[in-house]
Amino acid sequence: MQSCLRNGTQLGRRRAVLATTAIPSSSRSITINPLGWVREKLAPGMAEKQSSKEVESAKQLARQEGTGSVFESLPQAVVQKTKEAKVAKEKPTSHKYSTANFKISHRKLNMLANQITGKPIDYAILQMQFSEKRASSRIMNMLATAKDHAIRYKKLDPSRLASFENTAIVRTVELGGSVVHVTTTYAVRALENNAKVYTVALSKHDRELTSHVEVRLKGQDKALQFKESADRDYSLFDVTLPKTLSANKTLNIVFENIQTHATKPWPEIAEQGGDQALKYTTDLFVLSPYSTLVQRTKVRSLSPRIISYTEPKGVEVFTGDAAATKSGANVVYGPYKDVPVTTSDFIGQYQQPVTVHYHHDQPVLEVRKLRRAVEVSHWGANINTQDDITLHNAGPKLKGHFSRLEHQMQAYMKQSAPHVLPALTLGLPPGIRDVYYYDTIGNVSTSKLRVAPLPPKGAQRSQFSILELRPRYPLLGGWNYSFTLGWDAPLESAVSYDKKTGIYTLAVPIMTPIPGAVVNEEELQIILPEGATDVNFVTPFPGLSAVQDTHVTFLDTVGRPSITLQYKDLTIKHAQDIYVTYKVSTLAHIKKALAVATALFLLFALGGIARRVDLSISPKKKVQ
Amino acid sequence: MPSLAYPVPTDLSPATVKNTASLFRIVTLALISGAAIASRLFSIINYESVIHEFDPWFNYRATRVLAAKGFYEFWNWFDPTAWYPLGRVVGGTVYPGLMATSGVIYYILQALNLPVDIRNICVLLAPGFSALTAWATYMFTKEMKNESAGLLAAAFIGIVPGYISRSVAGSYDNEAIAIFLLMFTFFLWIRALKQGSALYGTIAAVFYFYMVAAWGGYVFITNMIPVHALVLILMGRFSHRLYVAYCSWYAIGTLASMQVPFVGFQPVSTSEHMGALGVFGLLQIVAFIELVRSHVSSQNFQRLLRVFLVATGLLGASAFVFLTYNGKIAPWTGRFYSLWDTGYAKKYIPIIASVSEHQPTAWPSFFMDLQMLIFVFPAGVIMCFRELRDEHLFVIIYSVMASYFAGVMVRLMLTLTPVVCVASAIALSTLLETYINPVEPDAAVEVVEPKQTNGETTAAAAPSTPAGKKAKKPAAAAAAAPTSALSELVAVSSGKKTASSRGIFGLDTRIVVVLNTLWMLFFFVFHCTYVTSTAYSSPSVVLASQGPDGSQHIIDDFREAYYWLRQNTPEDAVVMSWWDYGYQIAGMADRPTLVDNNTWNNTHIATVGKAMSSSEENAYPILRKHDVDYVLVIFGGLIGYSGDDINKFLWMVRIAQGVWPDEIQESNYFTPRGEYRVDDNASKTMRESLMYKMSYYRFADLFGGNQAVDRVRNQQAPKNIELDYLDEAFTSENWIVRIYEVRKEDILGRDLKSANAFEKGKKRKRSKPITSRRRALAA
Repeated sequence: MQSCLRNGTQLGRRRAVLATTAIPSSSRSITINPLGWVREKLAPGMAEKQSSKEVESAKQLARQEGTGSVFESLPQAVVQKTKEAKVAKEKPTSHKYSTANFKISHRKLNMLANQITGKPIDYAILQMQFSEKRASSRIMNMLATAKDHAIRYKKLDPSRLASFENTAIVRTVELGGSVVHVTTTYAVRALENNAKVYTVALSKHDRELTSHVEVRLKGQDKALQFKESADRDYSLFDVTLPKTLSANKTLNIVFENIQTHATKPWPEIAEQGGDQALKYTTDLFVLSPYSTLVQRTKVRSLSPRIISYTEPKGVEVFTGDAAATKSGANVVYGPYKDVPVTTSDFIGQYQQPVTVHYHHDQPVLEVRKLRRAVEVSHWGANINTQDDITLHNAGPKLKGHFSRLEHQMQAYMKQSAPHVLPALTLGLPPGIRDVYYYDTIGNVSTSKLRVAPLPPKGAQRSQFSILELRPRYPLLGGWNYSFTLGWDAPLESAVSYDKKTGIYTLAVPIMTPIPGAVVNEEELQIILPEGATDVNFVTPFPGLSAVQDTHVTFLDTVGRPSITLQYKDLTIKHAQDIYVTYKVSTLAHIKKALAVATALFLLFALGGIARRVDLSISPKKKVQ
Repeated sequence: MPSLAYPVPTDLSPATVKNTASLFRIVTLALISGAAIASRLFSIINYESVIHEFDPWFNYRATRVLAAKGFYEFWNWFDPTAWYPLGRVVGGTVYPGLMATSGVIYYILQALNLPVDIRNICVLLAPGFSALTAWATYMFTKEMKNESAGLLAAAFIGIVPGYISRSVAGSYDNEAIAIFLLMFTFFLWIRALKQGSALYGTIAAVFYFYMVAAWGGYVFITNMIPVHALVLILMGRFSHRLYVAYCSWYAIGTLASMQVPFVGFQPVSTSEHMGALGVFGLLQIVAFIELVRSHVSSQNFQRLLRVFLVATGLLGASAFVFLTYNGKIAPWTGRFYSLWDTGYAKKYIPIIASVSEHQPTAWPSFFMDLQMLIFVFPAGVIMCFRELRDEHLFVIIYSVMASYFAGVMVRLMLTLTPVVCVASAIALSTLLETYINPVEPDAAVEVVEPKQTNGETTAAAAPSTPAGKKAKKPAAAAAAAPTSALSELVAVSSGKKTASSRGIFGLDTRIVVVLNTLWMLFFFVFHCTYVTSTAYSSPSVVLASQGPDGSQHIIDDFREAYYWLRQNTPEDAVVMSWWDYGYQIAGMADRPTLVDNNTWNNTHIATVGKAMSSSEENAYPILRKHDVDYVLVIFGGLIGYSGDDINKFLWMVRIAQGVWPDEIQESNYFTPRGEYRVDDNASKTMRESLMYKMSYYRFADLFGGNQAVDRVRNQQAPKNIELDYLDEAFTSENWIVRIYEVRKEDILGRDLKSANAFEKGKKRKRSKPITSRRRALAA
């Protein structure tokens, strides 16, 4: 008998979700632990051991034999392995092992093969151990040897061979305007000891929409570390569990991702007084490299007015009664029972997009471009923040034209249309002063501000200064409005000083969230005082680029160090602080005053000299 | 030793007095500058740092181009968005002095790493230059009389409303720097004339060039100085000083002024400049005659002179007539004619007459702009007659000419203001000096018990209050007066002998007169502040109203609509509006316009007027031919904003009538009884005109079932107005600005009216096809 063992079952499954090429493509880490990333790069993985040629030839062989892997996601690999007589174990992308001549009826062997096909290696060994069939002991030995060889010779990671089963997956989609909040809870059961890494999969489409990912255990605040790797069709998040799980232990993992630009207005145009309806499309099944006992997806809208939703087809295998139910503002897909590993076969057969068409009562906002400049002044004991914001109403475009009469009627009747934005409410930091709000052609006088006092040192920042900001004109669907908003805050609210080391630590929020809006692009510039040295900064999540530069302003002689960061697709979850540390010497502090004083002194000295020099040729004579 | 009305310190050295007086002068001038700047900031404090009105928006836009692209780009700037589709060669049709000044300031600040926004430079340029104007006026008046009068004049010009009206913060117009240049050129001219200095003449020419580059009003200088020179010659006051000063000024100034592209060859080819050229020629002749006279005997000289004068006079006049006839010298422009005949423009050039600042001045505005100065002004002129030195003649001529022009055109009040300040300062300082001078005339026998308080308090109060400031200089002089060492100073400054037979007796007379004068000065300051803050500090782009609780409510409809245009329309969308709003649309909305405030093409403006005053069917082809996408009208009927387009409508009609007298007639827009009405009694032409329809479209619906009232005209607003060729695109919050989009041609080739009717009610449409079907059946 010939048996092939892949890089542990877990990895095998992982490949099923991934594309077929065995080489792990460049992994994009979104954790902030660079060491982990380096280690992964250097670690002897199977990629180093197997050339793609080897893999290809192995696949070729398997295809000839008609034993294409369950996990092969190539479309041509449609052969059902359970029908095959000869093979008990699936074949390799990673490790292949075969017994010596194994005389047995294929019917007998098939019974056993069906029992363990697609199961984790340890689970398979366990099954064979307690099987009453005669061949089971030999298969068990073969599996154990294969596992051992895989670990010893191919240096495969034993922890990766550890494996899980999802006892339940609950995905909750909270529909919004431009931001959709997806929370997926995986109730996980370890199938073997030493389970350490759990893998979450997202389809490529979902990954593109996702702008923020957070993983934690249910009921805990602490985020878990994860490593992301992307492939042609999938992205995988390898989540490191806080502690290893032994077999049959369970854990609830919460995977949160924020999707931006996931909805689109439908119909694409709406009348001024008309409703605003959006469409959201997602995949029916949650992808997972593990088999799942129960899975369901809840789509929740803010208003109960759901216009339509897709009824999934051909999923009777998994569900007892209705495939989808709607109650109030919720549409529930599932529960779907005994969902296997989401291989490409499974995806081809069962995966389907489901669309929910719903009313949304808030305007869909988008900040097309945000330019934030934060300038620290030690002389003024001041920190100035200025945002240049280009706001766009991404809801349905206005059909026809804007009628002020109708708008005023709506305001009078208190029935404002859902896609019209008359005003915004922003939460600015407490203790701010000199707030300004203007646009290209001058001050906008239609705003109200309530400043919250600065909390005492050490106290948790609880209150916001509330700014009610009205654009010059109500923002209807498809309209733009760009403006500038800025304020001063006392230096001590953002900067702390360590006397021992002489280091200043500055906390700069990446953005001020506009409720419900997504920021498509941000450029953040942090300008430190002139003469600041030893500049370091830590970002909560890496930007597209980070440039250190010099910014010259206000009577500077050498300019101020500045940090410019680029971001895209930011949501309220991204409104975190960047920490910058720097030192400023006393000399640097008084440099500007000295320069100005010297310049003025020279000016007066020159004036004095000029007044006392007589350049006339002849002595002055009195005239008239 | 003459008797004194009150004691003065005797133990001061002349040097101390001189230095103290000099220090006081500097401090006072600094305070006057501060007051001049501060009183112009009302508009910023009440509103914001924003560019005002109409023309400043163009200047601001041009300055931004200059600051962003540099001077040569600006020089060659062709603006395709103005006067669509003609475009405008901006570099060659502006006075670039203002923009260049702001640009230079901007570059200097940038070089010093001072990041000041170009808008703030533009907004604060006028107040900044008003401080310089105060200084220039001080220098000018000092030449006329003395430092005391100079300080008074500086204080007057600093806060007088007649000048503030054109130079508040945000009023970024040519006049902002031009008045400084005017006064400073005049000062340099007087200096050059007094000293016979070619250097000062040249500097005067340089500033004259600056003035030419800054303001069209330079023609005033071009004619004032020659007239002054001519009068001096006619009075037999020809001197070599005059010759040197005038020739150096004219030669260099004229050549320099021709470097400004917008002026070009005008200084040698237009009638307005001929006077200066003529006087230049005359001076040469007179100088030549003087030369001849010194070499020839007097009898021969008399004969020679007579022949020569007659010959040159005839020759010059005939040459002038010949050149004018041949078109070498341009005839007088319409604006010039309207200076002599106030009814001229109304008859022939409605576009000039339609501008409010070209209207004749109303009498109350003299008092509002100048307050008590208008009474003191003649006294000052008379004081000039009393001495009648060469420079006093200048003030007299200036007064006469400026008074006339100020009476003809409102905007020329600006040129009158400086001379009023100068003359009034001369008069008032003479008055104060006379009454503060402690020296009593010889005839005085009684010695009044002296009280120190008068002089002391005046001097003490001087630096703190603006009113005291003006009185301060004389007070300083008074303090300096009496001791033997200082009496000479007093005598020089007040122009009096230490002891004369005439003078003022007693302290009470002095106190009464001085206090009275101080009270007048104080009230002048009060008046200036009041007028400035209430009348002259509104940006007119932003309106303000007061709520019932006294809180200020800002009406910002203009910017709302302009910003909407800027953000939500395609960048090449052409906006048609009446020309008043052209610069604002270009500056704030950044969209092409058909016509703007640079009214150089009367036909184009008349085309817009015709489109506005025609019916929809007739206007539509005009709109489409000019690629108009949006039409913008101003409508004040909802909140009672009286400067709206319906009130300007008759001017549109008149201007259109000037070009198309067959199609547009003004009389059609009146009711049969000759009234201009907008309600149901309005004439049919009026009711069908595009402007009327756009203004009142759906306005009546706003009132529900109630009677709709136009609050500007206090008439009932019309109902059920239908627009077939335009769609309402945007209306601002208070309905002041209404923007309509021009429909494209119907895709089925119908005319838009029937297409619209088909879409709305099918009644009319149904009836027609039925008949035609019947006809078809019958046939």
